[in-house]
Amino acid sequence: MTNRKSSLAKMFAELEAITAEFETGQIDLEAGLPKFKRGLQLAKILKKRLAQLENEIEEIKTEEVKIPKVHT
Amino acid sequence: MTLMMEKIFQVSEFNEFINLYLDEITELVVEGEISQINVSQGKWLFATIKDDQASVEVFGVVEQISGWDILQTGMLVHVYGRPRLYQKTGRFSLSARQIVPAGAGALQIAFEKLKLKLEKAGWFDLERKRPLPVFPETIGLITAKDSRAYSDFVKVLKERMGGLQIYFYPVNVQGHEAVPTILTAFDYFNHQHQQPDLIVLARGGGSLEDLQAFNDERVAQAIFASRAPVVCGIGHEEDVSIADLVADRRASTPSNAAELIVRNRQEVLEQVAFQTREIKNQLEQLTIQANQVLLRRVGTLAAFAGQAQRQRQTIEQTKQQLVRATDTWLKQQKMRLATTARLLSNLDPHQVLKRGFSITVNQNGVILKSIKQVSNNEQVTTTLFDGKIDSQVLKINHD
Repeated sequence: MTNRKSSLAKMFAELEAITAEFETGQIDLEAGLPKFKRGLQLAKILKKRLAQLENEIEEIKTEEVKIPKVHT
Repeated sequence: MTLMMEKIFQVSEFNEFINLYLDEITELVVEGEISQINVSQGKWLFATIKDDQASVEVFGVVEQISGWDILQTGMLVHVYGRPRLYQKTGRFSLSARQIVPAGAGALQIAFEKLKLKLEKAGWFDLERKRPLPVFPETIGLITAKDSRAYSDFVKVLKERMGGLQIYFYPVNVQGHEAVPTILTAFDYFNHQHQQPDLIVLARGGGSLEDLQAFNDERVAQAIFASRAPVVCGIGHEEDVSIADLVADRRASTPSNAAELIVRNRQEVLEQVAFQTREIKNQLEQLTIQANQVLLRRVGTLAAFAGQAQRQRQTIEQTKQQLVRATDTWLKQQKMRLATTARLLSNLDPHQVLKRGFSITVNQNGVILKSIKQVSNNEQVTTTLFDGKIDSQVLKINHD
């Protein structure tokens, strides 16, 4: 779960960073090309991820949960 | 009964005996209005609650009774506890585990008091509140099973974003069990389960009494202490609970909670599309710029090449001019030479001899230019163009 989480947030942040870098106009063509490719790759993965329609719901079985002392 | 009648109790035995009987009574809830309340040494709480016809004393240990400080005279309360005789004095009381305000008036007073207390403690301060993750992927949902709050939340969440993992912890949202189950749920998500990206505490609307659990100090404490950020979506738009105020983010309803925690997938897709366009455009600009730089460089090279070409042409022209000039000079020199040669040939004595002149020399080979140079009978030699005549001077005549 953690990996998947960080990947989505990270990928989005990385795409944002690449866009911002391009927007500054400070990047040169040679350095820009691999970043451009990476940006497109990220966009592709993000689009695929965002195409997911369902959410998974797991109900916690409360009878298996330890009741903490502080609550009594 | 017979045994009891025969047995003579000491006072302490009697008190102990009665307590054994009283122990058989499990916890019960007694409703009454507080007619008197005080705290002794900051440790013990003594109160009297009453109704129209009767009153009973209530005893409690302060540190066990959360929210004791919001209680006041005239407040209708529910006392959760068991009947006890105080061993030393035989004083009967209701030994309280929990005392909670009951009835709209009391609840309102309790609400205001707790709100003020927590506000002063800084629990509602915006600086304290944690930002929600931009892309939460795991959500701990605390609400009632089969409730409207649950279905609204899940429905709106699905409309906005997919691929999320929801851990649903069903709780009682009202009644005696509400607070303990909510506290257990918070404990579960914070300590027993892998911590979700955020926790949502949701409940539909209701009266102040219905929402009592969400105005409970213990629930406020659980929200305050939660390691995962908490979003509260409780009641209708106009309902504000203590839980809402303590939460890192307050949603007006369970649906609104779903709207607040996840971004709309369409909106994110548009942003991704925008960013893709942006980097494409920027790369295109970069290509154009690089082309321009290249063209400028080619231009510079071409200019340099042109200059070299021009220089070569100049050199070539100069060379040709030089050749031409040399030619002319040579021709001129040739012509002059010819003229000179002609002139020279005209001066050639031989040529002069051809025209009938002759040269006469004496015996010493000296050319005779004057008659004075010879004397009679002297041998002279005359050179004509085709030969020589040796002769002797016969006579010298002066002109």
